Amino acid sequence: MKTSTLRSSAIFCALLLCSAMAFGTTVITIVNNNAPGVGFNDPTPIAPVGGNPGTTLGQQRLNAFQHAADIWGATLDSTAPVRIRAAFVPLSCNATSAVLGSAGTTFIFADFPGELFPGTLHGAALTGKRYGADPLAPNQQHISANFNVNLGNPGCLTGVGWYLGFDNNHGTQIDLVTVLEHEFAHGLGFQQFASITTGALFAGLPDVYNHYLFDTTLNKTWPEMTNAERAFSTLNSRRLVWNGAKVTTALPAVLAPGVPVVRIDSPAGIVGAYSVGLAQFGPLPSTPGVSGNVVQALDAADAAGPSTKDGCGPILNAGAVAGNIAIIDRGTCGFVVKAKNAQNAGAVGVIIADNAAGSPPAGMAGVDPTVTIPAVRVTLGDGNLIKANLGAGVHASITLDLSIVAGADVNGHAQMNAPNPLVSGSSVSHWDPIAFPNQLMEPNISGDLTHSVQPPQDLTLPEMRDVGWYPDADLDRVADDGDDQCLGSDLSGVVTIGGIDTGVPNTFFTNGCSIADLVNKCSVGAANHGDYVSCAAHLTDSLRDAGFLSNQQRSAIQSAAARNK
Amino acid sequence: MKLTRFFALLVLLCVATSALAQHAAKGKPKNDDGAAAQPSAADANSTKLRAPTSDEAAELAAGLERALSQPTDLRRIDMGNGMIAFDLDGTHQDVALAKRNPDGTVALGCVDSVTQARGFLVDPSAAAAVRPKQPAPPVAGLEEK
Repeated sequence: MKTSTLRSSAIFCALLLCSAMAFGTTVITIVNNNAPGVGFNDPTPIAPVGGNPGTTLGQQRLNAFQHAADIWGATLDSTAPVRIRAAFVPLSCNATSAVLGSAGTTFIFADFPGELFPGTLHGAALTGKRYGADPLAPNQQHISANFNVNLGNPGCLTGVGWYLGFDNNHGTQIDLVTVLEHEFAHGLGFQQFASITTGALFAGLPDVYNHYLFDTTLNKTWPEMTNAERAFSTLNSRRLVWNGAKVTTALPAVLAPGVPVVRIDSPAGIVGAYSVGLAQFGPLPSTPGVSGNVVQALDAADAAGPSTKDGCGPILNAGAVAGNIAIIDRGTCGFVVKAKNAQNAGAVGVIIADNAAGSPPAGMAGVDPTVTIPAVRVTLGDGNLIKANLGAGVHASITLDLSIVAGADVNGHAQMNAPNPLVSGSSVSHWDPIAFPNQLMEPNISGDLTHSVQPPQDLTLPEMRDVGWYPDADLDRVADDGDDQCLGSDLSGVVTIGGIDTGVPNTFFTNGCSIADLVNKCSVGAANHGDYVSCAAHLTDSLRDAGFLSNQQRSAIQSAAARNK
Repeated sequence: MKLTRFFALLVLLCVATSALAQHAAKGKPKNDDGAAAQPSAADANSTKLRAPTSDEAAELAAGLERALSQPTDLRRIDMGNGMIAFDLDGTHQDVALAKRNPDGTVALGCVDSVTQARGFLVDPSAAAAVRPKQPAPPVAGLEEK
């Protein structure tokens, strides 16, 4: 037994050492797909910039790609390589807009050893990580990425080109490393494959990302939904959340508390916090903010505005509005005009009720430094609800709700981008842009991002951990640097001890240990064979008492342990 | 036993890799670069600071149809070991876009459908150059009424 154990231990330790060295490192290679003389091979001399030591335009581009890849490579753990087929090519653009670039996984896989959920699609790079080896041939790439070689040239978002430095000092240029980090993240696992219009799953199979999309209205994850429910969920703004444990745990350290809302205190039937769009003018909602009764502001139906509720003219019921919050319908005149008229009538705040369906409520533009009351916009539905209850007396405040984290729901789950209608922006494969501070994987790639992909700045790495990018050398789906108390688990179907097949099912526990692992642990530190057998007996007694073994199974293991010399 | 398992895994991987390599050699389209190789659209008013027109947005979005398509019925590849694969063939990509706001600032966005691409390019409230830090006002580019 000792020789056998020593040999097994040596192999076991070698495997552990190998995987330990790989923790937090993945070799990500940029495969230059440009022809000589162009793109990454452009020989135009250029001075090093912002830590990028390249002295030709092509080399600096390649360096920036590799730098972004290295940021991900330093944070993700995989023994399998990742190859990104990349090129700088002419992409569509004109003077006012441009395609910056595109990226995504090249293949998706399912039904393999190590997949995070059975029968679930994984991108090519994530498959390699979970599978423990490269699922592609060496001449194939896991991610493809193409970026615009003409950006900043005349006629291609003229004058706004790529910043190729590593230091984020991009000024008015576009920081290539940031955009690459974002697009690479999609290719690595921040991506789902179901149709966002029909809700149909890809080939009838859910993907890993789908498993963590949870709709708080339907109380279901995406794999549990019908196609129609998924299509609905795609548009269920602020109610589609991420229920992965890593993101949820990390979220309080990353996102800040404070969400601007209209909080209604009465009547009881509509009490709650309502999402708002912010105004570019006037003060922002604060804590405790302004409060009062909500009063429909009325003005003349005249040339300024055809409705008595559009607030485009002087408010006629100033006596009722004064000291309270005015509610005014959107339409005809500018938001600033409505806010100023409400202010002139003595309102302490103004709610603009949208006149078109859509959510979340958009912001309001306009400039008027004389507006001194907060103005917010609510959706058509919420506006109608408030107005329908005015007869019962609506009391509300326009406030910054510090009990809610910006970008999370009341249960602390990160909100996904689910705008309604879909046309107003990207969806589902991004965080809700309400998140604060700005996050790498919001649909709007902000200029103030830091290049960090992990807490306390960013939630992308926790998302990657949730979808399976965690150290797991034995593929038991329990993180080696987390809850796994048995690295290198024996995941055989039955418990085998010293070559003796006991016929006992090798139950696997959530702490990352199987029954075989636990029996094997008895041999570690045992002074002699008697100690080992005694340990195995105590263990199996406990497992039997806990209901995991029958008496017969306990005896089978104890007998095998006794004979394992 | 561990050596046996390890060897079995190696065999499994060799079979899988070989199957996919064979698939790749069967003449699948090699140019799956998605949005690549779209012609550049020049604009004579290159110095004018304005948002994209609907026509410009449509032209730009039209070049993204393949990369942003989301077919859910691509051909299944059986790897011979129970593993299945799908070659996305340049579809299901995410695309980063930039547009000039009416005030001259530039907004960046990432989309995963043509509908969203058009929305980003023409919807004034779709994005902003630097999104507001809360509490802070939204920047130019939003609806005024």
